[in-house]
Amino acid sequence: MKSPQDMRYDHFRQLYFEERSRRESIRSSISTPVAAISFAVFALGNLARDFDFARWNEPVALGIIFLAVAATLSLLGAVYQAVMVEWLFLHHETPPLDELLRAEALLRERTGDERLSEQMADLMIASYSIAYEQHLGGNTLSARSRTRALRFVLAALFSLALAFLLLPIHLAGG
Amino acid sequence: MRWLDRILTRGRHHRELSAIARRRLLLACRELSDQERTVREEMGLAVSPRLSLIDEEMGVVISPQMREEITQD
Repeated sequence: MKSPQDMRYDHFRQLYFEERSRRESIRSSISTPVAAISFAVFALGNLARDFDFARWNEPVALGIIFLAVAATLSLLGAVYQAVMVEWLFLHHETPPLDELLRAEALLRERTGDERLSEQMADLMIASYSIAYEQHLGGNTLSARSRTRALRFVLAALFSLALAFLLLPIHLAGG
Repeated sequence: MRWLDRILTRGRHHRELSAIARRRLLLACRELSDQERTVREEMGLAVSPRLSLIDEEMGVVISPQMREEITQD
């Protein structure tokens, strides 16, 4: 049976490394909304090319304009959220070797050799715990931005799909 | 300038929950507390396991203390 200290050490170390890998999975999953943004921009260009601007004041044309504006705003929102996924994200690392050696020397001086291992393990537990919580906070915000980016992209694609449905009606009236 | 800070810092310093978010989380917090209580009784634990909640919708980490505040609202 492990000691409570060993359990704390294993627990926070594992959590820390899992949050680090979660960071990478969030980063790679942003490629889906980014690809969808590129597609939506291309579709918006096609819509603008086929639209008859001379008849902009007809009801169907106004509907297409409204949907195109909604799609553009949604795309801007998606781009902003995609940028925010990586915005100001700080990596938190456990103390470097020189800091650990300094801490070890200080602890040896203050607590003696008999409690040194225990104190060093506590120091590592504290480091892993802080780094884990910082990564967790950052990942939570990044995941929020990723979800919002995806929703904006879906809204843009939905608006564009409706606009393209109206386009034949608009063109037939000409 | 709070809105500008919110944009430029990903809202890292604005983690307080709105009344709407608290209402939305109330059921999840109650369910979690009930589950913790059940597990404690079933396993004969001296203390309850106190879990954190992550709300990705709002981008906040809800500590066990914050959960208690929400359920007491």
